[in-house]
Amino acid sequence: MVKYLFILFVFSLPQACFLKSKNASTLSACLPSDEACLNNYQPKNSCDVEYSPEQANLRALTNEEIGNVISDVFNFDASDMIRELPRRDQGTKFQNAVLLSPLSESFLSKWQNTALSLATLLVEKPESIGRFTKLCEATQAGTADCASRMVKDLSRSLWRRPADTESEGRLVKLYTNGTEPAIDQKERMIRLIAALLIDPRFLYKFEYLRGPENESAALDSYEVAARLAFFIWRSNPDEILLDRAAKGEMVDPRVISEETNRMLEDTRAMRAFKQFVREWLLLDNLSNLQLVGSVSNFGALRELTYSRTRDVLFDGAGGINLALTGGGDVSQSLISQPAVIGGLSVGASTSPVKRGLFVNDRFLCRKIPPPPPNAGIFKAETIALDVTPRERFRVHEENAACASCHAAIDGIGLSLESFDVLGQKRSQYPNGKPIDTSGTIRLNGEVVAYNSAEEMIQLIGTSRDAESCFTGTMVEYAWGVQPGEENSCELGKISRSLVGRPHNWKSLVRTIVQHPSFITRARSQP
Amino acid sequence: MKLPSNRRAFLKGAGSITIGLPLTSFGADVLLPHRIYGVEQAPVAQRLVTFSFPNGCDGMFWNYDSILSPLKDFASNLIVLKGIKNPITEVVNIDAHQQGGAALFTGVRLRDEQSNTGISIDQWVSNRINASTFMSRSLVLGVWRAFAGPAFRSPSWYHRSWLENGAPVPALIRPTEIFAAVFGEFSADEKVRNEKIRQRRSILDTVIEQMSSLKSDRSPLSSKHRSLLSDHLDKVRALELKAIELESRIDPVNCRPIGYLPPPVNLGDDGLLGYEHFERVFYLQMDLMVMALQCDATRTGSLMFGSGGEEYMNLGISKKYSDHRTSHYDNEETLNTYLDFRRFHMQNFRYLLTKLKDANILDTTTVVMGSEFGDGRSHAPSPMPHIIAGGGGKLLMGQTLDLPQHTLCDVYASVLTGMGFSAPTFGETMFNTGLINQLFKPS
Repeated sequence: MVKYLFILFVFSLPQACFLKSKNASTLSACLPSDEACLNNYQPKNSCDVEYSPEQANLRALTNEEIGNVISDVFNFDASDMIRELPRRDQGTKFQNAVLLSPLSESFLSKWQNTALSLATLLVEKPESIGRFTKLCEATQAGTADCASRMVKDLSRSLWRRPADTESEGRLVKLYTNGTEPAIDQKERMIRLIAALLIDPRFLYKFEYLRGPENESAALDSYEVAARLAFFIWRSNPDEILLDRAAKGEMVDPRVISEETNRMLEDTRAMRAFKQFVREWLLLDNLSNLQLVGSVSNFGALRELTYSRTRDVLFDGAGGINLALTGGGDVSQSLISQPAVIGGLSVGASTSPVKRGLFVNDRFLCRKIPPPPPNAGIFKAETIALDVTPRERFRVHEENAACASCHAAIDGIGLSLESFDVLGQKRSQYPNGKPIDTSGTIRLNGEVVAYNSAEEMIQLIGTSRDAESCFTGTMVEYAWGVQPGEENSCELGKISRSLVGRPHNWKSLVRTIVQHPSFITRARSQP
Repeated sequence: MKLPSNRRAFLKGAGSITIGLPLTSFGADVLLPHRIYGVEQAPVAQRLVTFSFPNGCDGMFWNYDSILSPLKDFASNLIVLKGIKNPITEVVNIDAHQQGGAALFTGVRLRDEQSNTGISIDQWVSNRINASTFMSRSLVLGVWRAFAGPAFRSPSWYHRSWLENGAPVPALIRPTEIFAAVFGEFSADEKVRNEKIRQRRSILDTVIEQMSSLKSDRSPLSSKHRSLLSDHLDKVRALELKAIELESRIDPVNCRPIGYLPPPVNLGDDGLLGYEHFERVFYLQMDLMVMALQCDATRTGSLMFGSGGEEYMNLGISKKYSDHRTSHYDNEETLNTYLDFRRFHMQNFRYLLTKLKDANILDTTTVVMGSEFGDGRSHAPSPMPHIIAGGGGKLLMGQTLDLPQHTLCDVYASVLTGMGFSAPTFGETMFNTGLINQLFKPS
């Protein structure tokens, strides 16, 4: 049991293709093809190591999350404005990944102007700011008292906790500023909202120190509420969560469980799930597919995948296993979904390498290092038309440097050749040559053989490796950082607690939020 | 956005504004440029613009006797490059319009995921010399539908400007949008402008001041996070002060207005620009590009006429064939139309050079012009047509060179070196064969 769990931790090691540690203390030091290394791998007993990585203590909101917050707090669709913000794709599996690099100047420059424009638009919409301004209409508009209550509410909604006294004072002063020529109510609101949006407490999710930096500590109620909201909704906590946080209830596991159940039934959970699926299955890549002569409706293809994952993976009893196997019907498997497999093409052709890499990375959590800079590329003009990819890929076997990684890629990719570029079954190549779909794959610590893509998909889908991988993926998504080997023991606990229950989104969410790491602020590494 | 009713009046007025408003948290010296931008920078007069046209040009016509005839008057400001190799597209089994277009100005292969390629030369230069300009970024303009053979194409087909992280920068199309991007939301009304300055300053003061508790020793943040916060606030402050300065400063001497406001151009129901508007809009874009350079709103830019493979129709040239169709010319009629389309693109380029010259900045601007491949019949990647125009810095202008031993990466590295940057290579190292000695003035 323990052994296969560690398949999870084959993480990126750029040089792994060529440099192999003599003392294989981590599985990532084993090349995918090195059976002896894989078999002799001895995981460290790591249950005594701390879990919940330090990076989880702070991260910047993604563009999408900023849009979600604006939509949830102000009931305002700002997606057009958000789309124009500089993209911050860092090549991580999920966009919510924690990055210690601060927001770039180009992002802030654009955001500061966007925040001002947004504030200017919002003050014209009573449905957006009414619930905040009504505090001031009830009493006398412009008084420090009403301003202070409004600032408290607004800062709590946008910063995920009420402003500290000093900040509150500054914001009230900004709102009531008497030194300037009289400005109207709307202008006051514009300034207040813009200042709140430009503030780092909006753009970054902070978790505060509760003692020495090098000691882990319990999160406070507001921080737990924020973790929950960003995990389940990818947005700020709502009023209910904030109210409970204000009472200090959110650190109670029973309250967390109660709130989790409520949140999972909210439409915001499905919105977040869709964003998760889009990133996890690389659905944006579909736009690269070129089908000459037809304009495909990529949006409709993506919707098919969303609806399939919603039925099976969101709260379906089959969970990740059924999502992968398709219940014996390969056309229902995530692997052959047009929106998934379609993005794994080169131009208008299938790409066994991309498909092999994708299955390794996304469904088995096996990271394959990138090819060395001097790796050859097949030249279009040198590819004879009557040569199949399998024949072409013999080159990989002949060269040890290639074989070390391609052994794990090609077998899967070549078997999947029985699906065309959009995942339709085919038995031969366009040139009439038959497709050989047989191969072997290492699953649950053993090498198993298969004759067809269907068989391979069944083997993968029913493997514990795939289950563990999905657990690890969900934890990575929850933490915003890849679990490292030091977290393996805890991951094992999470996975074991699900034995007999489906590995689906909802059950994993419920399990992960109950794990001690979810309410702990990790210590800072020196 | 409020546009001035009369640009000339607006620019005249804008120059006389002074900043007389108190800053509560800073002394007056924060408005000195080096304080605002965080760098001491010697004035840099160099500018770089890229210019692309679609569907390539067969090397045999890439000379002044043939399609370059409209550029003859500018010969002393041009280097015509023939025979340039594009080894990148040669090794990649992917459409030559798409791959060639992504490699054009980047010298990097199109990566599979997210249509990524490397940084383009305009952005590379922008990172180095745009910090103190109004826009602080490259002005990326173009007309495109990305309709090619016959399907709408993915983003890698219609981008000629790429950021460092491989993200494409979409070309702005509408002149009004471009004007706003260059000059911000200016108002001709001094009172309105001053109110906006007050607004920004008051927000800035609040954001900066209320951070004191988070930055102090009793901050609840770890030391790592405190330093991140400091970095964040430095940026916020610099950017806001710059925005304030932008609102209040424009140089009316060197920044000559075009004398009219850009007219609105509507996109079609499909959200794209109709081919019938391409020519007019592109001319407006070139006007705005030159104005932005002249006003030092930016020092780099990218102009793209059409995506790779663009099925551009121009009834004045042909009622029958698109630009792309004629690039696959197979008889005299299609060949002649092909050459007409090529000359049309050179006329456009001529217009840009003329405007730069009229603005008196041609000699201090380098323009790199090219297309995604050479011969359209085979879509063969090499030779790739390129022209270097303008001042060129250390480059020896006024020559035609046939350089089959050099690659597009060598061209870009040489251009950047000519501008005074240290750039021994550009793009993917493996495709660089070395700087092109013949391009440089004898020392």
